[in-house]
Amino acid sequence: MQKTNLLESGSIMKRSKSKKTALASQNVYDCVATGHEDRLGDMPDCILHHILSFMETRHAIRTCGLSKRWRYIWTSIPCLYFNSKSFTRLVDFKKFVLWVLSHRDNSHVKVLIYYRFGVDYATDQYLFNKVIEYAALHGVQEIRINLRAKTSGCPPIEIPLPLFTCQSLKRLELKDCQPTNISSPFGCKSLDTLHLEHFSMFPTAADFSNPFASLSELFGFTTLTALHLNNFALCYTGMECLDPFAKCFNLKILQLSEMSFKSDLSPKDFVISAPKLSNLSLICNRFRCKIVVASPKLLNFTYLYSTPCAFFEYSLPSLDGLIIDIHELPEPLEKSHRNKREETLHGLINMLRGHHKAEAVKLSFCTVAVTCGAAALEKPECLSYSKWKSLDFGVGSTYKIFINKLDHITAYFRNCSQHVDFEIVNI
Amino acid sequence: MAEEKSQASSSKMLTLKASDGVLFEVELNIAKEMKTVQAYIDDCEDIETIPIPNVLGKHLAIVIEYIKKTNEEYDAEFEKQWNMDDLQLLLLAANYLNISGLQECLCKAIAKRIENKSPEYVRKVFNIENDHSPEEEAKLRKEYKWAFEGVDKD
Repeated sequence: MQKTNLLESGSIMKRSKSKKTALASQNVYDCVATGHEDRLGDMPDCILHHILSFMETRHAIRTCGLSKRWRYIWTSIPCLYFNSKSFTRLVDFKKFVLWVLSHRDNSHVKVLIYYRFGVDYATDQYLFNKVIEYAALHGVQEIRINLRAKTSGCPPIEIPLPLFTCQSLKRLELKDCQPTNISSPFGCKSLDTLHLEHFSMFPTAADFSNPFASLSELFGFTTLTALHLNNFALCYTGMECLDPFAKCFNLKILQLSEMSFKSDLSPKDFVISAPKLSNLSLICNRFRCKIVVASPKLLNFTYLYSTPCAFFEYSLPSLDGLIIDIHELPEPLEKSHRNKREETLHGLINMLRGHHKAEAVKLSFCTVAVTCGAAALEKPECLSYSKWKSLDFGVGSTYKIFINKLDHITAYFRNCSQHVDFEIVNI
Repeated sequence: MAEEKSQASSSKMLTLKASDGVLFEVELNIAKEMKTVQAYIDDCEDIETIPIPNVLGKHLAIVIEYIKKTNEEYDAEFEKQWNMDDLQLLLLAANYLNISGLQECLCKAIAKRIENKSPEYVRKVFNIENDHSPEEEAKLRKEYKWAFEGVDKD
């Protein structure tokens, strides 16, 4: 049961006063079950906070009027959720935010959500500084920011220093902004998960020879275990291959989506080689260069394709336990596109050829199946030394017209294995 | 997956007894998702029937089903089936049994249902007695004026 918990349940804290609260719960439950008593109100504060933490702060504050018991509950909700869309004027939003910061009690803030959808180019630097400073002072662990502006998209913003020096910050999400900071001497030391969307570095701050280097300097990529980058246009002026994640020693999950390199400013090879990477997702990117997947501990690779120009090379020492999930969007099969696709698939087949020692491989294809089969059959060499014992082979059901080729494909793989009891499971 | 687990020899069965006497036989790995039950098992190893005095059979059944089926899709649809009363009782059960995933799902669902409603509505739904005097209430409304703007119609 994987859940990204917005807040830890208050129950853990409750357990330490176990007997007393267990009895309290019992009474509440009995009362509730008979349908007569105040239910929500009798729940311990931590549960009420948990419920209220899913609402914008503006709505949560209304509970102050419910009854005496509820008067000050809002002041210690460990979540601040400010959304300027709920206010008719930005000036009211500002007044509200400042009011909340000064009327809240001093309890800690676990999550800060700050969405300021502005109208013009500049965003409110003063307000942003105040909010970040407050959150950092109160032990914030997760911050989500969106500063989208109507006219310009990503306003320039200086990320306040307290964010970088905040020892408690574990997850950071930044959308629609352009940091003007050149670098931070601190990075974010405890940062675990970073999510940057529709983001760009302010031109003077960016290092064009290596676009990821500026991000890495600003946020400190080395502590991250999960990184999501979405919707960036990058430039790369170097001549070599780009291997931006090589020093991300703790990175386990990487997701790149809707990324592209501007016009001709792309590297020759884009290498992904984070040493501990186990999950890689490439979704709807527009890379026009060769992608080399060279992460030694990779277990899951998901690829949702969008341009016909990407092609892959794999440099993986082991395939054991690797799950590859490749989806192509249906497109008319123009000749040139078809060639590129075969290159993509050849990359995959070449990889499989190289890994004849793997025992279990799980591949799932949608639409790629036919081309893979056709391409594979064109090459007479088989994986004759393959030790494959099982192949979980998934074919997307939308492409039923290609099903008649499935036999060829499965026969191909069956031929490649030495085992008599080689199993192909159609997912 | 549940089937495989029940065939494995390591999957012991446990009986949970709800407050109204209804008995539920569950696999150990399902029961362990309830941290309260896990703690009970840790304390008394050989126990076979665990009393759950705070939860009615009807709700315990729902909780067990949730643990077995939970995933993103299931969770999204889960809360839609229950009325407000059941949601609150399930939340109390999830809190007592210490199942963080279920508690999160239910808190989110309750929050969605009361988010932009008037205090009168929320009091009615949760059976909260308004013990503010009319003067106190007027004072609050004035002080928090902006908070009461734009509320949904009940």
